[in-house]
Amino acid sequence: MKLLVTGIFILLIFFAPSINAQPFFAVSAGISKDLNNKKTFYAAPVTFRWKLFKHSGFFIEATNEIGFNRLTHADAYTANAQLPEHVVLTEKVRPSAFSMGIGGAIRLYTNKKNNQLTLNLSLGICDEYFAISYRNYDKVNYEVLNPDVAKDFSGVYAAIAGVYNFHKRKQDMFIMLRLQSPSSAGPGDRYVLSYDQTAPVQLTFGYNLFYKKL
Amino acid sequence: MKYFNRLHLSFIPLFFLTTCHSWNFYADPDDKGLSRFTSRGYNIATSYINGSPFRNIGLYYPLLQKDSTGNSIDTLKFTWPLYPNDLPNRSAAYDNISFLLPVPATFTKNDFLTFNGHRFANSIPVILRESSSKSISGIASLYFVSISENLASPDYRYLKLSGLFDGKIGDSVLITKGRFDFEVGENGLNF
Repeated sequence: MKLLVTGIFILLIFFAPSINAQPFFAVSAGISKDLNNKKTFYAAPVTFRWKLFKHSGFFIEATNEIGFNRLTHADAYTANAQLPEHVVLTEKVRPSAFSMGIGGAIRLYTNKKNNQLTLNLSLGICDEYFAISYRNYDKVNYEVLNPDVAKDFSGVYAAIAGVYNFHKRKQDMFIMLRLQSPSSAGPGDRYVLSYDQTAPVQLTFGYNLFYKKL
Repeated sequence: MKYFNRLHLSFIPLFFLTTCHSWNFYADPDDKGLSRFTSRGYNIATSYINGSPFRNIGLYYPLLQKDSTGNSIDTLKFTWPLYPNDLPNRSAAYDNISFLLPVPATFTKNDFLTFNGHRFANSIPVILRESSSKSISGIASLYFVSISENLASPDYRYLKLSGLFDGKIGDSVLITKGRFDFEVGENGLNF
């Protein structure tokens, strides 16, 4: 089954009808929301896509997600009789992710103005890192109960995106709605954290930069 | 080949010993050699004794037992074995640690549950038993941050307890940054 899916994916990448019959770079930025955590993460994604060939939808993509801090509360305690036994701290979790992969674009619709709606499918490798810090944490005297710790996840991801390409004042622009799966990285150990890998749904706006006019 | 097989087999018990030993130890990034402070029943207790990290051994339960004195005040003994947790101190000199809480002779499990969230500050006798079987005693603080009873399974009921401790024995031994997270089966309790 996996082999079949992989085969279809490869065929799509190389033989899908081309979206624009010329190679281009596409750069976009926007906002993303994570769908994989109860306490959700938000990030600012910057995406780069390079369509290499004239007559194929094949592309190489790279995405950098610059995460915003997620603030929650944590409890810290001390056995030291000179200090209050319990304090509430603010926990800051900051994700960041970089992913790189290959994919194919399938043209779904083209209108009279040559604006296009395409479906992009991609696979690649993702590295996601979560940085943890506690605000005003007296590490010498207090211990955080069930603390979160920094963690790195690396693995394979799959993504699906709807891209609407349009023109305005001789500029080629696009809006992209993209959903990326969490990476295939396992949990590593049995320690339970308050966060898991993200599955970002990204809404970005950007430009197609054609570098070889036909 | 025979020699290789024998050598290979001889490593198997060592492998299991090693994996079991490190099973529920989750390193605290802020306190080298100690496990994180948790309340998930990981059966782990760690602390510094004179700056060296110690932990309990394997996944053994701690001993939680009421010792009768024949008077109106009995002693609740809370004990676990100690094992040095850094390589340079593998031969360090402590076997176990015990906290001795004075409790009424009528003390029950329900009374123990009321210790939830209670901090005994600088008032609990603590005993360190050295490898030479000699015991030294001092005073400790013991904070039961959470105690809860799991009643989900009628076949196996247990208490989940986690907390913090520190202590001082004379001028020579300092116990700092102690934390424990245990599941104690109720069938082993004598109160």
